[in-house]
Order: sequence, then C-alpha cells, then structure tokens
Amino acid sequence: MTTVVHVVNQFFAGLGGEDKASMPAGMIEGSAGAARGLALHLGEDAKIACTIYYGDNYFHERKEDAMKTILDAVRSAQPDVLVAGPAFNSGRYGLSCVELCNAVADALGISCVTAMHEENPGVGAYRDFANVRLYCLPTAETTAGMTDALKRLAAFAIRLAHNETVGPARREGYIPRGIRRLEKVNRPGVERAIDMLLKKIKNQPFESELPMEVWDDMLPAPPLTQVRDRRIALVTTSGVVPWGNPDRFRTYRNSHWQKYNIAELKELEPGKWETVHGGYNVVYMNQNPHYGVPLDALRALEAEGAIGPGKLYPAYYVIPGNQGSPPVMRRVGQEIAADLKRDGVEGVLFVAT
Amino acid sequence: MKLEITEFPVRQICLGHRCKYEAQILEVDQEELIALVLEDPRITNATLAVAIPEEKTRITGIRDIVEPRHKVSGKGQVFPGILGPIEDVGDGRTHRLSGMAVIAAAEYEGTIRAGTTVQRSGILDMSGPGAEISRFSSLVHLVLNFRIVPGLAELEAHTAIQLAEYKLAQRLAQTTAELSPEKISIYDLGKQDPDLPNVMLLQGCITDPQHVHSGVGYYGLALRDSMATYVHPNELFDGAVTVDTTRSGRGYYPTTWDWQNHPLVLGLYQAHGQSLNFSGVILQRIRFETYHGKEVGAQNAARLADAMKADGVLVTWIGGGNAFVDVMFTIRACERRGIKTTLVTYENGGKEGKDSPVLFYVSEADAVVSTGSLDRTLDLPAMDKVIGPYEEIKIFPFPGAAPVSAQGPLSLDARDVVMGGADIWGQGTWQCVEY
Repeated sequence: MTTVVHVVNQFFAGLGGEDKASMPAGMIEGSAGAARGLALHLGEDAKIACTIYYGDNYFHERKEDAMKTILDAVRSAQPDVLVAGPAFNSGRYGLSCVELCNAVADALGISCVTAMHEENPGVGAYRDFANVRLYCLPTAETTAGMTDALKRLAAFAIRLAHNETVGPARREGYIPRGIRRLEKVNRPGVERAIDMLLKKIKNQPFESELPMEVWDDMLPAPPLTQVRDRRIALVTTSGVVPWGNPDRFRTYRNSHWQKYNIAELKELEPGKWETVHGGYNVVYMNQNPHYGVPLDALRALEAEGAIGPGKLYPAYYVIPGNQGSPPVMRRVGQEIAADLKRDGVEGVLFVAT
Repeated sequence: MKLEITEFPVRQICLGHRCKYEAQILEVDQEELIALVLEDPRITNATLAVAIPEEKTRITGIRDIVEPRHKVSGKGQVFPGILGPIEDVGDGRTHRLSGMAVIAAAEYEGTIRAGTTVQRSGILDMSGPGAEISRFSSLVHLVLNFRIVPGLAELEAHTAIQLAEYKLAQRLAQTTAELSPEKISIYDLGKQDPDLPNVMLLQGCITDPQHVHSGVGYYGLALRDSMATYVHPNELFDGAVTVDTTRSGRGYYPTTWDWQNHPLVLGLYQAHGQSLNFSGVILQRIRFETYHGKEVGAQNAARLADAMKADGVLVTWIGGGNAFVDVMFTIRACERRGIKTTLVTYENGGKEGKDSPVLFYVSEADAVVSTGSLDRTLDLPAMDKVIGPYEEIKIFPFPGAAPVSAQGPLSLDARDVVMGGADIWGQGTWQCVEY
C-alpha cells in the first residue's frame, strides 16, 4: 500500500476563502476538500494518510512556523510521496507549494509533486531550486482544469512512490527544472541539426534542444554626488593576483573571490603579480598589472585630492571572470557587495576585462 | 571543383622496418620515420608507439591529431602553405588512411603562464569512460612521442610540432600512392537545384590576433582581424585549415583531424542534392575584443551568407567565453536578413547541469542543437600503460596547479583535458536533455 500526504491551502481544504488566509497550518487525518478528488484517482493501492493545510498568507508571513508544522506532520505520516496543490494561477499558493515541497524533499528525502499553471510565480522558484526530488506538472489557469490536474498528479505520485525512473521533462510532461543531463541519444548532432534547419526553412514546427533564458536587467546604483569624501574600493574580474596564485584561482569558471591588501603599496610591481584568466591574452597585463588593478591612477587621484586621504579601501577584490556561470557570479557579486557594505564602502571602481 | 577521396582503412599498425600498406595493415619503418622527424634540429628526441581501441592505455601530452592523407592528383599537396607551396587545393584525388590517426605528443612548457595563449596539452584514454566520450578513442593511433629544444617560444614550438606530425602523416599516406582504394567518395558541389534551399556552414573561429599564431591557419596563414571568408568545403579535406598545435590540446578545440573530417561539412555534403544545396563554408573570425568588433563581424558574416544566396545556415563555433557573444550576434544578424539559422553548440552548465548552459542569449536563437556538455565531472580509472611525454600531468590549467600521476585514476571536474572531451560539431550522439 502506497502512503500519500496531500498539502493544500485553506481554500482547497474546504476551510474558507480569503477571509481565512491567515489560518495557521494544521493537519486532518485522511483526505479532505480537494484531496478527496485526489484519493479517487490514486486508486485502491494508495491511501492518503493525512491532508495538511495552511492559510495562504500565514505560510508566507510565518514561514518558519508553517514549515515546522508541515515537516513534523509529514515526518510522522512517513509517506512514500507528497502531493501539493494543484495551485493553478494562484501566486501565493503556487509559491508555497514549491517551497514546502523543496523543504520536504531536502529535509526528509521524500519525492514531491505539485502542479500549477506555467506562468505561476512558483514555477520560477521551482526552476531556481532545481531539486531532483521535486516535480511540477503544468495545469490550466483555473480550477476548470481540476479533474485533469488531479488525475495526472495521482498517476505521477504513484510512479514516484514506486521509485520509477522519471525521464526527461518533455517526454514525461512535467515542467523542466533546468537540470540538463548529458546523454547519448539515437541520432548524431549533425543529422538533428540539418533536420531542424530544413524544418525551420520550410516553416514547419521544430523543437530547439536548448531553450533561451531570460536574464534580469541590472539597474546600476545612482552615481555618487561627490567622490572626495567617499570610501572607494576597487573590484576586478581581470584575474590579477599575487604571483604564484596563492589562492589557486582557475583560469575559467571560478566560484570564489578574494581580496588582496594594497594598503602599503604605491603601485603594483611587475613580476610580483600575475594574471590568472583564460579568456584573454594576459601577456600585457602581466607586464603591467595596472591594466587590471589601476592602483597607480588611484594613488595619483589621491595625491590630487580627488580621492580623500585614507578613503581608498586598503584591499582590492578579485575573481577571474572567464566563463563565469551567471548564478555563481550572482552569488559572488552579492557576497562581495555584502563585504563592501559591512566595511562602509560607498563607491566601487569596477575593472572588467 | 571535384575531389575524389579514396579510402584505405587501417585496422592495425605494426612497428617494423618498412613503410607498407597491405590488407588494412600499415607497417611503418621506425628508423625512417624517426629520421624524418629529426631532420628538424628543434626536435631532440622522438619515439613511436601504437595505441589501439579498448586497451588500457592513456596517451599524454597530446598537441594535435592528424589523419594521414596524400594528394595523388590535382593542384598542390595536402597542407598547402605548410608542407609545400600555396596552391588551390580541393580538386583531383586525395588518398586517406581511414580509421587511424597520428597523434603528436610533445613535452612543452611554453613561455606564457596563463590566458588564451597558454600552451595546453590533452590526454586520451583508449578504454573506459574517457574513451566513451571521445571520438578519437575508436581510432588506431600511431603516437609520435617527442621532445623539442627547451625554451622555444610558442611559434617556434608550434611549427616544430606541426611539421613533424604532418610530414610523418603524409609519408604514411604515400604508401598507398600506387594502390587502388577500397572506396571512393566524390565531393562536388556541382549545380544547384533551384527547388532546394541553399544552406551554408557558418563556422565561427575564436582567434587571438595579438598572439603569434591566432589559432586558426588558412593555407598556413593565421587568421587575424579578418572579416568573414568563403571557403570551398573541399579545401578543408585537403588540409587548408589548420590549428595552433601549442593550444589545440583541449577538449573543446578542434584538432587537424576534425578540420579534415568536419562532420557538419560531411553531413551537408550527404544532404547535397537530396534535401538542400550545400553552398559552401564561411570562416568567420569571432571573439572580437569590443562590442563594435562583434557587431561588425556578425553583420559582415550575415552579409556574405546573403550574397551567397543562402536560405539557411548551420552556425557552429570554436572557443569559449565571450566568443559566444559574436556567435549569438551573428545568428541575430542572419535572422534579421531572413536567413534561417540553426546553432550547433556544446554546453557548459556546471557539474550537475544546473547552471546556465550557455553564456549569452539572443531571442533569435530559437533553433539550437546541443552536442553535450564540457562541464560534467568525469572519473577516469587507472590505466595499465601511459604513452607520451608526461608521467605526471596537470589536470587543471592554472599557475601552481599540482601535478598528478598520469597512470593513476583521475577525477576531472570538467572535460577540457580530454581530447574530444566535448563533441563540438555534433559528430556523435551526445546531447544535454532537460529534466
């Protein structure tokens, strides 16, 4: 017998609408509300041990408490699989389904499946988590798609409970998580490419093997009104580091950053610094490290009074930027920014390469 | 232009005392070949070894891989501008020893410590998971293991390595000069069928114009700040496009063998006259240093494809990092001119495939073929035998990287170091599939 736990919001648990959105998380033995429909599709070999519910607002406002209640309830029910939703186009609900599934999958190692409309904000979180134990099925926008969604959730849950191998997203019908696995397929790339191009030329439908990503636009901070009295730091992706590469940066796809002291230096002496970077010809940068870390120019600005005395941050920050993965570089940027903030830096000279 | 390529398959190589091809067995005269290589005073020592598929052998210090070919008729000789005068190639008849390759394995430290111009060498396992990912592990190899004079600058080292491997390879193919082949393939673009779409291959080439060898040679001349250039596909078969041998020892760069056997060229030839008109190859310099350069380069390549009346182009590339911006700009420029594109590319994506698969996007790139990933981890078991100059190798190409035993197990966090570690041009069946 397969044991299933179903998690729904207060509305689908049949406990009330928006007026009950602050309702704390709780648990009902067996199935309730929408879960009854799920039970129908699960068949006779599976039972719903309990239905966990929470108010849409409660989950997001008191997340720690909500998660604790949910995790405790799931832990004591010991299900083979957890089902959350379907959430359709409800943003708060979709997001909570994805977040709680991710927590259950990570903390308890239980496979989870949820379902929602592809434009639900929960889908973004789902892709960000890219959790191998969490699947999200696409649904219609509204509850008009309830029966279909429950049917597919039930079938998928049974497969997960039986530890069946789940294939690629497109074939299995779940929303891609952004986990790309290297596989051998049955046709060489050349054949697939010529086929795809010919279909495109003939205006026939084709499927790209690599979906384009949409990236955030970066909004630069407003410029400093005056620089003289501001604390200024230097950050660079040039890969200029002390000679010998003491922190073992790689020439590509780095994941850590460092800062190196320049407090006592007037300039960077060639031969004491080297460039670790696989993305450009480093010969010239090694001959003159100021191309990447323009300490000479900053000291001159100090002497002129354009940068106030003691206002230049005593170290520079570096990570070789070559082939940096966007999510990794985003994290590195956030870490460096937090470090700068902590030390009261107000402006940054960013030297990119 | 019509080229007949005749095939002499090699299933076994014997180190012996004469150079002879018979019944798919290539016997090689070690003394003669070593003497040929040592004609170059920059080479101090050379030995030969044979590596065969499925044996537990790891080859180290690989700089390049080349297929033995020899022109028996038509103008020029293979590797024009390198082994002989600069004459148009791609016409007449060329013999090839198929199923085998010559591997140039040479010790070289280089004078440049990091960056795009640092020397690199690769490894190749003939069995196990390293062999499974590489298109080169199924070939029989004659490994030329040699040393060059210490302290040579990069261009000197490159020409020494290249001449040695090309001369040796051509000598091997010459054994078939008087023999009749098992198979003849005819490569002729001939007339275009007006009912079929015109398709070109747009080959982006990362180049490093400040370096003594930019990375891509055309008739031996390094391509630098050039705009896009039309090339007849047959020229590739005769070795008109070559590599910088101090830098091509890495998993996502083509070797000479790849240019000679370009899978997209062969695929387009196969479809030629059936489903499309193959209208030739455009070599495009990519990795301009500035946005300005990237846009000019991209629009120029699209303009050339348009002038050649291309309805569609297969776009592929060599390189990594910001060179991909040039590729994406080129796709956009082509699509805006009404030329349909399909991109063939390897992916990054990190160890688990959760990071961004490629480094830059344009919305026009809506048709992409994935040839696999360079980034996934790979555990290689210990091998029984090591061929090549290095007993210890550095699996990470950065200053201060600790060397490890070449014979022992290797835990790679990316496939850069394996020759053929990424299936750059879609010869094989690798693909990244989304879960």
